[in-house]
Amino acid sequence: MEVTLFGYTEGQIAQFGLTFGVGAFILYMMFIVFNLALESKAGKFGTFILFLVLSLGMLGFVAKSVIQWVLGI
Amino acid sequence: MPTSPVKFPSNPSAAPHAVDWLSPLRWLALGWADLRQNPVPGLIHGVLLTAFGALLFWAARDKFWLLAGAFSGFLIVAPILATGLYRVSRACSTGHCVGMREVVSLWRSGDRRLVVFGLLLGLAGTGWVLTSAGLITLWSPVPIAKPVDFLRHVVLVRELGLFEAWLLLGVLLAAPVFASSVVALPMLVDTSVPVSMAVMASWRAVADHPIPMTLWAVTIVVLVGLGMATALLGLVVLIPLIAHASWHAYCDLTERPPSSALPEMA
Repeated sequence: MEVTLFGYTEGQIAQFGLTFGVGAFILYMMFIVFNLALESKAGKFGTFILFLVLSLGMLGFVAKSVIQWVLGI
Repeated sequence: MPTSPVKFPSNPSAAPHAVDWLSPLRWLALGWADLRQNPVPGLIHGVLLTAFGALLFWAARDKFWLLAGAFSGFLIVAPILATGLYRVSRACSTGHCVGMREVVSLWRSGDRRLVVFGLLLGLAGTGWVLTSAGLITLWSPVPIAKPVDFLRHVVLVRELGLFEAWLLLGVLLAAPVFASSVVALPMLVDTSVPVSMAVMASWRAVADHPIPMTLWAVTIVVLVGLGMATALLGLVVLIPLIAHASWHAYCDLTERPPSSALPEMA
């Protein structure tokens, strides 16, 4: 019999952890980049590139998760 | 230091807004107002561009690299194809309502600067497809021949890796293209500055407002993604909305009073 915790299997809990953990990590990275931008360590155009990479990376991660969820993978 | 290489006539009654984090939403609202005020040219653009995208999709549906090349090129060159709508927005801000005749006159003018810029964008699109093909051919465990192969073996792979690297490469290549065109294209339509000055003004505007411009780029990507997710149908409205909003972004970023007369070289 499969062991569950609050009705969730180990696989489901690992999936939640990956989804929300990586999401929280990306937000934390954005906070770090924001601090760098405030201290002008990256330059203004560098700040734009960093934020764009992080923002669209996060968007891609969310889109991938949504497509997987829609297709039931 | 001025952001723009052109001098705009002062018009205190219609001063541009300062650019901040909420500016992308304001630009969208103004773009929507322009589209509602004069919907015909925008919707004609939306229908034609969407139909062209659908035709590309149909023609290359089973040939992934042809589809990727055609679609990437289409998305990168689409801003050039929508330049006529900047003129429509410019006319809206002065209380005039122009039709497709004004747009056609822009195209018939054969402005070499727009042709050069379009060719440069096409070159950037080709570069993206080649590097993207190289990355995926090298890293993918199976050959990618059809769109469904790309979805299955690149996008939907559970492990982090190829998709994320492909995305990173795409963003790093898209960032300079966006920075070069976001202000430059409306400026080429609005003024007589050469391409190099318009591109420099565009980079300076992005560097002056990195976070609002990031939000604007993300907004455009989300809207285009939503349009594509609706079997391209949403693009009929979203393409003209983005084009009109881009005009208002240009006005704020270059401190151009929206309802001013044609500017002069500084």
